[in-house]
Amino acid sequence: MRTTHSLVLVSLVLLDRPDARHWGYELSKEAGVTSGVLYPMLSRMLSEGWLADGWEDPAEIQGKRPPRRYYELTDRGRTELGGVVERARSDARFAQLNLGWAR
Amino acid sequence: MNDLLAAATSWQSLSIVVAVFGLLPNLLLHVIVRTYPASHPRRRELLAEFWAVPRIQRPLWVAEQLTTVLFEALPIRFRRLHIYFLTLTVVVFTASGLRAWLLRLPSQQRAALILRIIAGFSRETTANLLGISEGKLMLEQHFGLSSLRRRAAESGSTAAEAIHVRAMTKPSPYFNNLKWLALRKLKLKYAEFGGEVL
Repeated sequence: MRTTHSLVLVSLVLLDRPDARHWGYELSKEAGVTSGVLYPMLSRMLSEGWLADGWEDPAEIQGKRPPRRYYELTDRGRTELGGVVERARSDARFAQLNLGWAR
Repeated sequence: MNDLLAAATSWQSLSIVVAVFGLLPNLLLHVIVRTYPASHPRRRELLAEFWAVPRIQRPLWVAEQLTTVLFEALPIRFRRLHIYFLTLTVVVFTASGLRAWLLRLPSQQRAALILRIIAGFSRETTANLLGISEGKLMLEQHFGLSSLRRRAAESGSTAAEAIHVRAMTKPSPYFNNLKWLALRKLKLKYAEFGGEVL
């Protein structure tokens, strides 16, 4: 995958809580990436095996709403996205971003 | 000032607010997710995400999904159209009798038969290319073959001829070359999509 601004932003959010379940809407909010860019990117990550997906258990839902789809980082995804952030740190294009300390 | 207040509290403006922040976004979302093929998980996903969005932001969020559809669902639809088109180019180069029968089949049945029997793709690959489940694919194949068989019986040729489509697609070397090119293009296209059309 090409290292783009949105990929770096999304990887930062994903790596912030590497073991948590991530949801589409929250991801796009936190990363500041529009859904038109985010969802195709998530599909790519799924097919590359960086993410695993699943559906919420209907029994755990409070109130009347359909189950949501969640995304989890795989071990492979953790190393790959770590590499993306690492590369972004040494790339002048991403100098404006706050990439934080090495994780 | 009073007029303005009256306008803001009138039942018309109230019903507009109710529509924009209450019913319309969900309705609109149900319409736009239909751009995705029926089996695509994004359909269910977006409909479920809707409930996670704060009510006040829902109209804008739904509008944002128009771009999602533009960047993701329409290309998928376009790829599928492209596959149908490529299978049609294969049909053009088949024997004239069979061609007439194939052209009368519904496009999904025709595409299924051509991809499975003439192009020789596996069941899994074909289902993937057409964006349908393997069960649906087998149904399409079954219906396609049985109507071919029926047409063959009506026109007096033997059923065996109609079933062995491959045997009936050898009109001339020239046509065979063109058909081979069309098939090659189909296979290249498939590789370009990374073996994954859906």
